[in-house]
Amino acid sequence: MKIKMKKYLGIFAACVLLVAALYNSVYFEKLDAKKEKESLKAFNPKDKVEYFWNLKRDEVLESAIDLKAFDSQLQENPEKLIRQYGKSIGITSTFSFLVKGIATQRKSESGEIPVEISNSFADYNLQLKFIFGNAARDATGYFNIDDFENTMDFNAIATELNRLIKEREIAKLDSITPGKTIKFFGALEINSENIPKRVEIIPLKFEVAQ
Amino acid sequence: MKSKQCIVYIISLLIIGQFLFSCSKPNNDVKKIAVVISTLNNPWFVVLGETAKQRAEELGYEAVIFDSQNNSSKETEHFDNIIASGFKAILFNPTDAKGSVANVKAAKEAGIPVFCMDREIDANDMAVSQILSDNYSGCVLLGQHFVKKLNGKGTYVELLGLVGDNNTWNRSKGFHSVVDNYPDLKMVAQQTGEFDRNKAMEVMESMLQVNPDIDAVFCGNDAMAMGAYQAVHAAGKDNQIMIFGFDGAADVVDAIRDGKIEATGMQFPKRMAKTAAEFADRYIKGERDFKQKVPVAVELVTKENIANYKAYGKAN
Repeated sequence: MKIKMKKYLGIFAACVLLVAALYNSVYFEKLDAKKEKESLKAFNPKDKVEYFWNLKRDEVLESAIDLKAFDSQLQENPEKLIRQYGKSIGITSTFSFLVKGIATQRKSESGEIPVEISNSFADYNLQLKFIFGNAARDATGYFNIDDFENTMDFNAIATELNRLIKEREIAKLDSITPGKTIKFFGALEINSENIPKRVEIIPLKFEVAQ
Repeated sequence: MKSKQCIVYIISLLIIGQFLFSCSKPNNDVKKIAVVISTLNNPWFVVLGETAKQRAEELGYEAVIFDSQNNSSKETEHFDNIIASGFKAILFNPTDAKGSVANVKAAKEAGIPVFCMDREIDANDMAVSQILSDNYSGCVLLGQHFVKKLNGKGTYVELLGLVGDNNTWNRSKGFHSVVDNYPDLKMVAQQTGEFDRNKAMEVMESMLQVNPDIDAVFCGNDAMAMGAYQAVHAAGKDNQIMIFGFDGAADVVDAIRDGKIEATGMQFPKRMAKTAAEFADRYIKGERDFKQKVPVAVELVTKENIANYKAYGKAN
């Protein structure tokens, strides 16, 4: 009886050791978090922007302000608009915003699609041809300059994001018939010292409105 | 009576001795801040250094300027002296993004906070904060203006700055992120002028011999723009070749007003230097929460808006 008891105790102790060893050698982590960690390890702008594009873009776009509401606030109280929704990096009078709205697909030689808002304060155009600068990167608020070893890497993010916008979103418009209503999400910049009357929107996402 | 006289005599001697001693003793109460500048051979950096010094003095510090003469070894010597001399902070304009990291590390290990001005180092955990011009965005604006002035077609050359400085590449990349979208705009040569007026003039002279028919020059700073202008002027091509600079230096602001130079990107060296000095003061007083990178916006200056600007900043 005592020998049997000893045997069971031995098996139990071995099991405890095995579980302890397994517990310390295996861990579980959300795939999302793991991918994000990996994307931060070595600097590769393509990987970082691809990760944002595929896994974070929609989440970020949820905070976009309706363009009509943006326009009326721009006219009535730009300071409040900037305080509430504007994003900026460092010492600047330029603020970027995420906006959303509706436009009509058209064949445009000018490389722009006007966004019509009745009695609007400013004129808005979706830029389809020349996508450059930091507006898209900064408006997302997703990329933090202090996470990058140097500003060249940070600026490479803007270049890469602009490339994806051209290749994936603007190219998508070719398959949408002119006259169709499109829903867009985009980025724009406002200089607080010189509120513009003509505003360009860099598209971040297009959808055919139902 | 004699003993009374003797006591008065001794007390007088003691007072005089104390006075003389206090005069000869260094004033250890005044804290010192070092201002290390990459080169004082360029007026733009003189403004950066002098403003940092002046602001540090206004804040109650003794400030000393060190000139690295664009030489990393000289910069290291300065850091060694600064660390040994009990300075409380360093306002730093590095000579090289990678090469200067070791100096900042040495200062950090010695407990001396470093605040970079205008030029960055390739590390985001060494300096307390880095106050830098947003060169990329500034050159996006310049690139857009460049395209507009050339109607999207023509040939041009580019004069790059120091190849080891990140500002050189941020400016070049910002410019090309716009200009390269126009296939009819062709860059026929790209060479370094090392941010130096004389060097840029020599390089431009050689470039003009090979490419006499170019329409424009994009220069990574204003000193090179002035050097390029001298070469273009000597070749009698002032009316043919448009020159674009970057900095907002005094001679280029005047040259834009006179129609000799097309445009520049206005950096704000005084704003950067003052911010760095104020950050150092706050750090010395105990604050520790600083953004690692603080970009300062750059503005496009052309003949159309020149009235709003003066050398190194805004007119008002």
